[in-house]
Amino acid sequence: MTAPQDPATERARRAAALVRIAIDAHELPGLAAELDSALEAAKSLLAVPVEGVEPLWTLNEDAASERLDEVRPSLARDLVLANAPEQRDGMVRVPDGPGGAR
Amino acid sequence: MKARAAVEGALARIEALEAEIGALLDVDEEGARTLADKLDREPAPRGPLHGVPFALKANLCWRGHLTGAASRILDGYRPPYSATAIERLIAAGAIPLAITNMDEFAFGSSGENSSFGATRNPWDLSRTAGGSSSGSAAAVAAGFVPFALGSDTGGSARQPAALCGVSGFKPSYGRISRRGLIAFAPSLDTVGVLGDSIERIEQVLACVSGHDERDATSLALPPLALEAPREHLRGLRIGVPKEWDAELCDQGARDRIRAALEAMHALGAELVSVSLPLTLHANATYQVVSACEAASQLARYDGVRYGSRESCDGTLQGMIAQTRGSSFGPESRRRILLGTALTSDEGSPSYEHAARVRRRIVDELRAIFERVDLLASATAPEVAFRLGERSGDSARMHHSDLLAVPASLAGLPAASVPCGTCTTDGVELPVGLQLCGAPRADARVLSTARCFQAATRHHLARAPLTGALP
Repeated sequence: MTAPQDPATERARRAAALVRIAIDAHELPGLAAELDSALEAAKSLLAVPVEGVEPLWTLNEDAASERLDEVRPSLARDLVLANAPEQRDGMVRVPDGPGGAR
Repeated sequence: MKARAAVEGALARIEALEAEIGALLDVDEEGARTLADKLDREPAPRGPLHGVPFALKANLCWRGHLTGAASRILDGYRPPYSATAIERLIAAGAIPLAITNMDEFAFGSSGENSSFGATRNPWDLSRTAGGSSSGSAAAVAAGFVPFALGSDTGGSARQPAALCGVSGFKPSYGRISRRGLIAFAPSLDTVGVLGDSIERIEQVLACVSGHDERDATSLALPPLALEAPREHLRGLRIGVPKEWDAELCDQGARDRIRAALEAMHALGAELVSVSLPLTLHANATYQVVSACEAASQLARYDGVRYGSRESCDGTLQGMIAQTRGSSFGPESRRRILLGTALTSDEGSPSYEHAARVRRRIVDELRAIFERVDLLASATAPEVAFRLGERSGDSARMHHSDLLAVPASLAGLPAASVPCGTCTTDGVELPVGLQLCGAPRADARVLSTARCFQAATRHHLARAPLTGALP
């Protein structure tokens, strides 16, 4: 049975799992403390009134240009595959789900 | 000068100093020589950048070269295409020579987060070169190349330029295509330019700016039309925000900034005290927006299509988690976790809340330009700090970008120009003046900065160790 973790460590563990980053157990408390202080610092923003203010998602809101929906040459397959850690038969190769590689 | 001679000169300077500085991750000697010889055979120069060697930050894709954002997770990555900015420079006759060191994925203000070791400041090798474009700034300061491409998401071109005593420029958001810039926070990312003078940066901007349909956030504008060189600053109103006041700065930097403001006044500019209270929240806003966007952007590094791959249990999920866990550096991990926690932690400001605060900051900044033409402040509130001094202390590290992030949030053009040196612990260290312009007023920022340089000539000061260079 694992020992219960404090909320900050549990939050860090949960975030790491969500974002698919394996973290050694001994590193978790340090990361949790860093995360905690960054989240605390960010809380100052909650004091800024924003009622009725539209979020700004992107600058140049008027610049987003539309392009013709047409087929254009893309990168050559061999060029793209050249960067893949593993490939087979012109495709990127990955381990299977539970049960190993194929 | 002939292109080949320019390349050989750069290579000789690199040979003499690079081992001490650590500005470069790779040098393409043969590619540069071949291109130089070809350019030298052409009947007429293509333009002012014909035959000029340059360096580029490792987060700019350069076809076939190792440009993996100084991250182990992109170990061995050779992009199958080049960034638009690089394509345009090559078309103008400039010669890509070297790839510069940087904080991994541009996460940092000191260059110490590179997976390949920190860059040292040419003015004092015990100090940082700033960051994240640490190698680009140091490569120009060391005299390796006359200019280098960098990137600027929250000060990453301007702050290292200031700390290394060179000129730096963050264009308006969308002015230079982001195609081929490895993303950190797409709503903030820009390609930056660092150079030995503002005049040089103007030449680069004229070449690399202009609409690119392959970047949906690219401004639908032609290449930047430069302003004629100014002999004075009469008729310009320069705002001095009291929240960005020189009082924020270390003593030495403070004196240099005051002298720079006086110099601009002597050139005819009217100095106007202004207030931008919402920009006091700029740094916190930046931290939330950039971390959330980074966490999302860096999801693509999973060991599947490129970079390194680690495996533990033979499953796809295990491979992805192990690859990401062992290949991202500590600062990248911290930011990804922060961005992820912010999206799920009750009681913390959400990305949406930060985006609303950002709107208020942007509105405040845009409104001020109805009263003034430019804003002036220090680029960074300090001179170069010692390597290791702030390791593991994010709050102190972020302090260095305090004055740079407002322009990033609002997508405003901003330059950093050397404004003299001050003595710190017995060493002469450079200070940078930041000039920030109204939306899309890139040409105005550059012409003002160039006038300041012509009058003060601070940009001609060189790091002492470059004195005996070829």
